[in-house]
Amino acid sequence: MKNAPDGPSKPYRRHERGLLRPDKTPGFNTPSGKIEVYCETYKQWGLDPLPFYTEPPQSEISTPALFKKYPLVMITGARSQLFFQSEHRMIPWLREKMPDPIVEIHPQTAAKYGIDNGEWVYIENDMGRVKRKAVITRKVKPTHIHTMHGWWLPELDGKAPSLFGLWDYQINKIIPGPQCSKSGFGGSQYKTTLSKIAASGASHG
Amino acid sequence: MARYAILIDYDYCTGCHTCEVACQQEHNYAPGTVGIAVKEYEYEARGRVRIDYLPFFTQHCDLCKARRMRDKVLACVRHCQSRCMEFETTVELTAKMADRPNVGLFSHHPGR
Repeated sequence: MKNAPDGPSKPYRRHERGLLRPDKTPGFNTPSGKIEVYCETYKQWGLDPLPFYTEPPQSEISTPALFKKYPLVMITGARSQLFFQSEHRMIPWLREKMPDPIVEIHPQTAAKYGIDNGEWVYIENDMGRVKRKAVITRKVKPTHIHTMHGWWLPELDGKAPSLFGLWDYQINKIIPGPQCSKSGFGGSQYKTTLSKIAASGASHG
Repeated sequence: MARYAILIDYDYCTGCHTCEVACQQEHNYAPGTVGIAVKEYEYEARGRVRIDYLPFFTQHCDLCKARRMRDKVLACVRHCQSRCMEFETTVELTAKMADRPNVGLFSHHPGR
């Protein structure tokens, strides 16, 4: 019944046991065997070998006009432990613990835009709008809103064009497409898309 | 006679609801029925936002009688993702409480 202290697969401290390098010596799989802040491999690939900061494609600084129109930074990177990506929305024991696609809004932000707790709202930008149920919480900063990705509602019609409410609830609809860095790492602006919120006037989703 | 209880170190509870689902699956409870329920409390303390999660036992909890007959630990305790729950005698558990700042010790008697 009892697992080893670091679990059955022993995933921790593998570098101390020589499990990461082809030559089986302790250390990480880098030329120096150490964690490299200055990365020789990046340099060989013609990339900046040091970490650096890049302003997001949309922000108060890089797109001030867009920021004026859409002053809220939308984060979509968090996960619920109840679901995996877009899976499990159809399992009653899981779904009842988070029945609705929610957007988390700071109390000051909610007051500014006249949003009540539990109200159905639209998150909008130039790409379109997505429905969410407002949850007022101090888990997010006043300048940000947070919502989760992967939402569809199994109880709705699955046939096109409804597709289980995909076009009403899928947050990717309003996130600009792939924007990988020069290294190939990165994706869309899942945590930096500018948006605004507005009451939807609907009593339910 | 030794009395059993459940200790929950809620400094480590992340509010994942796995205990609730494990309980529902063990007893095949209908959605809406749970033997253990996790509640969330968001508040400010010393200038910071804090979120505490605390599970408690409902009248649907039978302390996993059927599992314990098979010498198995309670379903919620077994499946807790942060291993913050323990089911032992009160004597053992009170000793374990000594150096932990935020624990709950639950004494639950099914059917009373």
